[in-house]
Amino acid sequence: MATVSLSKGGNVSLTKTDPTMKKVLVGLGWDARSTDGQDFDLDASAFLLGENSKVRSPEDFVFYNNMRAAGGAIEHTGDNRTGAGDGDDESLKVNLDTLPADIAKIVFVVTIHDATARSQNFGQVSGAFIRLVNEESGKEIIRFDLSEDASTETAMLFAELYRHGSEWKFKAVAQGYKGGLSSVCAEYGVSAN
Amino acid sequence: MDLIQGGNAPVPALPLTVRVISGGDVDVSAFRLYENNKVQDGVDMVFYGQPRSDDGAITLEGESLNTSFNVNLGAINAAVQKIAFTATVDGGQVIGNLRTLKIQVEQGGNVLITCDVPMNGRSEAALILGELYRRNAEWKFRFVSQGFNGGLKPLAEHFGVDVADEPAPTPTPTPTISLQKVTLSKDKPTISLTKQGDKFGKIRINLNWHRGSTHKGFSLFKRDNGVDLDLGAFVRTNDGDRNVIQALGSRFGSLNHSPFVELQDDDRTGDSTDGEWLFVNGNQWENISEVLVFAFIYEGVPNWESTDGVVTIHLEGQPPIETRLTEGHSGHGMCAIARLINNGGTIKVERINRYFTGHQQMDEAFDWGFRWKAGSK
Repeated sequence: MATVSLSKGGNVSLTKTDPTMKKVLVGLGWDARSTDGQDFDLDASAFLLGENSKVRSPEDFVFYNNMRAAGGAIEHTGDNRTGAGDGDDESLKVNLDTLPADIAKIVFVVTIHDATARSQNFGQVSGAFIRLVNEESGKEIIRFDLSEDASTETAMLFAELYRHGSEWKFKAVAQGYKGGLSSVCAEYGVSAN
Repeated sequence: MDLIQGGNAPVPALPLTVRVISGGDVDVSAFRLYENNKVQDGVDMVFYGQPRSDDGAITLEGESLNTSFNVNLGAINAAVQKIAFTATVDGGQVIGNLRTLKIQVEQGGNVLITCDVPMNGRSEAALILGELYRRNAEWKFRFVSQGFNGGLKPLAEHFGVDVADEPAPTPTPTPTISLQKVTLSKDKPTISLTKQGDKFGKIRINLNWHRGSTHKGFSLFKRDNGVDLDLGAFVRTNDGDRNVIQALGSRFGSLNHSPFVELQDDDRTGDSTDGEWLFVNGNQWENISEVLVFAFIYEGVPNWESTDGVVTIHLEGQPPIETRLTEGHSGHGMCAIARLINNGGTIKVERINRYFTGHQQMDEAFDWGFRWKAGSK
């Protein structure tokens, strides 16, 4: 089975692409450190959203200080501080079967840590991608290579996983935010400081 | 428009000037990058040692505190995806020591984009300042401002340029780019050379040519149907003195005294197989303003094609620079080969390759103002 390659705005049914997939490994990667001048720390996070596109509670925001949510149905595998390595820089595990029914959508966001202080942004990041792997078979199912001509954005919504009837679908988004993680938090109803 | 680092903006696909202004000495370079963000060849680098791309679409002007690249976007090879502009400092300096550093994009005298590099805590010795890149069939400029603490070597390697290992320890090692031999041609007529150490050392200029089949014991230069080419130079020193250096009239010059240019004794015995040599004392380069190197056919029919003359300029620690005497004009026995011009202390080597009927015509063409009479050696 070949990987489905999405371009911006495209979506695909997970259920149809790989009906056996119950546990999804969401891998995110980037290449921010083609240079060695300043440290770049990019963080992946996920927001579990209800029908109203807001989190049910702050616990539905999965990030480096809150690694598990929804009773373990989603789990962050840890922070990679350097972006080194060819594969995924960070990943999250999602168990589709055990996700509470009132979670309609999961959005995956990458932010640059301390972006303002370090004057960093997605204009300085290249080779970003998000991919879905069937955790049980180890096969890559869907991949989205962000070819955005990003500029001064400090947060980037890579993609979203959402319910569509009885199916799960995956949509390639690549939406940038200039206000960093806090502006994304505000959008989804998480009050952060 | 001011960009902050990481920002980008569209630019018109017109001839542009990309200017780098700094508060201290800096070397700027441009790299032509292809699909994989790498160069294909050493010719994809435009820098002080190679100030013009092979297609002429990128040229470098100025130096040190104000350097500009003229970039003719319409003439850039379609396979080139990106042109990256970089700044490097050497001698243990870092970019942060420059105090100010900015890159701007100009078109027709108007500044379109200005990018001020934030200097606080800059630890890099080499910085990718910005890049012109193709995006959806148009050109854009991005203010990159990312770099390498290790300087030019990791920067060049990042772009896929082979960098020769640093030479044996010197107080301030400067990585040398391995360009092997530099050939000056009609399309790439000039090169500027900066000192590798304190001084240029002895600059050796060789003229060699094809003498047909060689017979041991016979004169190689003086075959019945052969030609004797003589190498010579007009030299202007800083005090305004002009000198002719050539075997004709036994004007061999002097390496250690003004005009600091010396012709090796004309070897007419046939023992020499490596042609004629002219030496320039590069340690006295500050006293020389120009050396015009020429060759003339002393004996034989002016037929430059069959002569196949090659002039090679050797500088210590630099790749040899070669130019061929082609496109010769039959009947014109004199060839102005190249000029070495003192350009603010650097040596600008300019290929000329123009043919004249004699010394006087060449003199007039370049406005030297000698008085001429016929002579014999």
